[in-house]
Amino acid sequence: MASQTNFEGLVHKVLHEPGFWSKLKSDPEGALKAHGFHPTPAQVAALKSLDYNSIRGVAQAFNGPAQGTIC
Amino acid sequence: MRQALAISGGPDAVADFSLHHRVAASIEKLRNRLHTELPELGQDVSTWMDAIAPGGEAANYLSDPLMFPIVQLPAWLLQSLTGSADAGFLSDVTYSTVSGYYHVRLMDNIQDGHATVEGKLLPAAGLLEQQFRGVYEKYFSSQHPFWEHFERFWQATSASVEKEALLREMSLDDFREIAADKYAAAKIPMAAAAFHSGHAASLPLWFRFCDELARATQLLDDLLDWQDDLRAERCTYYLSHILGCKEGHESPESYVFREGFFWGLQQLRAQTILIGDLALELNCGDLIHYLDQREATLRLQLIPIQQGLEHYRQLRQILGGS
Repeated sequence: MASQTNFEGLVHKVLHEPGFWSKLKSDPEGALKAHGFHPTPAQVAALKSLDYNSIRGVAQAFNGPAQGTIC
Repeated sequence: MRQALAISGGPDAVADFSLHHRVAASIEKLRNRLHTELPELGQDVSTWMDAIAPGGEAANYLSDPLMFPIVQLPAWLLQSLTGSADAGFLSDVTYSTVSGYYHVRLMDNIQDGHATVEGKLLPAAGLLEQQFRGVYEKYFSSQHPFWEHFERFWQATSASVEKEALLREMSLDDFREIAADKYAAAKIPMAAAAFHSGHAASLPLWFRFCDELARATQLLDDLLDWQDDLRAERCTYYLSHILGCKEGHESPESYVFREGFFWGLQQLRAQTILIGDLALELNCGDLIHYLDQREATLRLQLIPIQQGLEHYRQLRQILGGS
């Protein structure tokens, strides 16, 4: 679909830019085209079914303050 | 969280002897000591003790099921080996352990870059260490074999911080040694309890359990704190794996999301099974209950992460990434 570098950049945006993942959910085709990706209708449908909140929840869990569970 | 121990002193004594009560009483005693001995600094140390607890209250933090059970271990050992516990002895050991914990934490925060006000609190380190050591002087003469354990474990804990700071990459062998040594001071109250009750011969298995639990605790910490460790340029076994296994073009984050976290979970699971097997050998009901509770708490924390990573994996597949 696009180069590996672009793909990594896209993934970074999904994880860290709330505006981008909102757009990816509501208008996947438009959001991806702006980054050089040209999704098929099947991909667009699949993207709409993803739970972006849970993906961002992971990024936030790893980015929060140190857990400090230990001595 | 009540410790199901037979405490000398009747039912009321048992009721008063919850883990939280024991920890809270020790912290209060330590605060009073700090105010008396260090009038200029005591309040700052006291405030810091609460500030480093995630919930803002020191006693809750030290009783948390995900905390390394430094306070519970000697009580479990006594329960398993004698079926009872001397309340006065356990209170003293808890006070010592709490003091030792804050000493280690103070030094550790300065060493690993987590320090905020710790540099200013450094003059309190001597008093904290003295409170940790002083309790045992009451119970063991200077020639008692307990002191060999004390010196060896106390030294190992201090040396592990330095050893870790010098590494740029951590192998599995390094990890096993450093993680166990970081928590080696937790074996001091265990040794005290075993010698005090006349069961020193049982210590090797308890020490092995402590080492393996230390490794599980460190793995979990590294797994959840890897971003913070990366930013602070700390060296951990998990980070070394991430940086060594990610593709050249790939960010550490992308590798963690794609594969690294699941690798870490596998290591953690294997370690959890090992500590469960050792706990069965130790035949201590409260210890097994603690591990069950710890695992349930952990599962609640890890399941949403696993679910999010599964969606992330689907996202990559949809977009055609590897």
